[in-house]
Amino acid sequence: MFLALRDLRFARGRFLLMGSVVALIAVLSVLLSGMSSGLVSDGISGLRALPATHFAFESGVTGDLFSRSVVQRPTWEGWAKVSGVTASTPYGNLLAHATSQRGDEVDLALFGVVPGSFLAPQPTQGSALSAGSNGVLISPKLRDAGIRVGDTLTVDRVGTKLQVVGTVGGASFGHVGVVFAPLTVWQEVHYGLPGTVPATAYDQATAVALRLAPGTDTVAADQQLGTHTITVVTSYAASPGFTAETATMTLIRLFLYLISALVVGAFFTVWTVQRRQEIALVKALGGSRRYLLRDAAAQVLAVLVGATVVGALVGVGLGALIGRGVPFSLEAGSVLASCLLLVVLGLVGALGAVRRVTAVDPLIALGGNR
Amino acid sequence: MTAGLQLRGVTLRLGDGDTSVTALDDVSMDVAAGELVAVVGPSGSGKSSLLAVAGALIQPTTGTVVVGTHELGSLSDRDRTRLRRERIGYVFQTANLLPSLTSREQLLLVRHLGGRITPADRERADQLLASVGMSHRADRRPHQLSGGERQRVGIARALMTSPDVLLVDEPTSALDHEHAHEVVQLLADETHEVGTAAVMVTHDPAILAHADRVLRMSDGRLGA
Repeated sequence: MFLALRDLRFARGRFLLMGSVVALIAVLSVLLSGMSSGLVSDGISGLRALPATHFAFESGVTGDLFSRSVVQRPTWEGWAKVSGVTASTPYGNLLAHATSQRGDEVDLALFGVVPGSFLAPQPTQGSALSAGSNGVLISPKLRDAGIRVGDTLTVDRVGTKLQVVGTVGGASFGHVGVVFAPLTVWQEVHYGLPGTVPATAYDQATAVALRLAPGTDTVAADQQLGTHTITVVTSYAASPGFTAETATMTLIRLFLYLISALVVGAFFTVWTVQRRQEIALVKALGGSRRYLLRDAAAQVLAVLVGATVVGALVGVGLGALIGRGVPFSLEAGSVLASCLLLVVLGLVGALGAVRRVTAVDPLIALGGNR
Repeated sequence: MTAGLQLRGVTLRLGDGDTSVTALDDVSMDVAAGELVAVVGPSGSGKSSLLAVAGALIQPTTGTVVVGTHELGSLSDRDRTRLRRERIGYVFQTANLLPSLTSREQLLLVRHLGGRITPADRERADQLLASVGMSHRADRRPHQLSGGERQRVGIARALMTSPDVLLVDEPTSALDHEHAHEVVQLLADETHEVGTAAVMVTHDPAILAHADRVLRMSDGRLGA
């Protein structure tokens, strides 16, 4: 580090310029990471919060599983008897639009669960779901839209009344707030027509939510019961817009890392070429290959880590200023991962330049007078 | 003679095939410890090649080079690098200082290349800077120094490890007449004092009076 640090100080203008580019990329990458997490959270946090490990959907259904799959009562009753299943319960999922008695209009994701089952959430405020009532629990997104405990929501077209009896922790699905309702209420909304609901409507749900012991074989049960079982995490991809959003974000970030690696690589290549005479001198003075490599690598690392840390801090600061209207959530893990990736890819980018150091001929130090 | 520099039948051919050039042609010389030998000759006579071979920067095509007690041809690349670091001092044409280091740090770098810098190294660096009259410039960087001052720092750096062999390449080419004499006198004094075997390549006849012995070089051959 003897030379590397002194060069950093001596050529601080150049390094500052390059460091700023890396820092700006780090800012952008932190913000994008926050937006990715925010979007993911906005899309599937309702599913993530469910204490289930797997969903058994209707077999043969593809794409938007949560709106297309329908399972019947014998299916969830059958799943309850499969060995390895520690808990199972029917689960209903439906995107709806409702109006409060004051005229506030809200989009919501109606989750139908059996009161008292393992899927039924603990209310953070108010009372729990109870069978035979039309009481529902709302997530903070609906509270932000002006809905309060005690309000009555009327589901559009169907006209089903939902009485808000309590709240649950943050949960959303498909970018709208989750409302937990007793399964029977969900089945009435799902039937989709006003008036008397036929008895068969009460035998339907979207999927069977399962808690499976590790290593449980689902293939045989799937064949027997006509279902297709996937993990809850796999089911994220089936929620509205999830795959497209995450793919877009991943692509943007991928390019960002690539650009950063190329910028760092280009800078250090030029820097090494400029220093050819000096490198030759150090070699002539008896500097070993290892000494020069270590010095150059330490310099790259110092610049990358310094710039990335500064950029990440600025990014986190900016993130704190972003309003609640934008889905944004910073997760320490993903911020650290993207910083680490920036540093590692920058190192890879600079590798070629650092290796050039060893190729310099110490004879250059004697000058061209031979 | 235990320490010093010894060349025996050294031939250096550069390039290959039809474009091959004989830079050194059967050169033999002995330089004793504490002796300053000047090598004069026109451009392209092989003077710099002589330094490159004696300084373990390039291996001769045939012949042997002995620095102190080490025969260069028998050493590995790594050991030759180590030898350059510990046993050989260079003074380059233009002082060839590193732009980001102060005068003192130019000297300390040589020790750092071989490991850690000890307090004794700092003391020696300050002593050497004092002996070349550069104490007052110890914390300046090369761009703040004159050509003569840079060359003095370069000489101090070359002496930092108390080398067996001191190789000096056209030390006065960037200096005016007065400074040239000062610098070469300094080289002669340090050579005698430290007891190193010094070879100074030059084409400036004005400074030859400072040398203990003068050798002439032409077309890669050495003669008295």
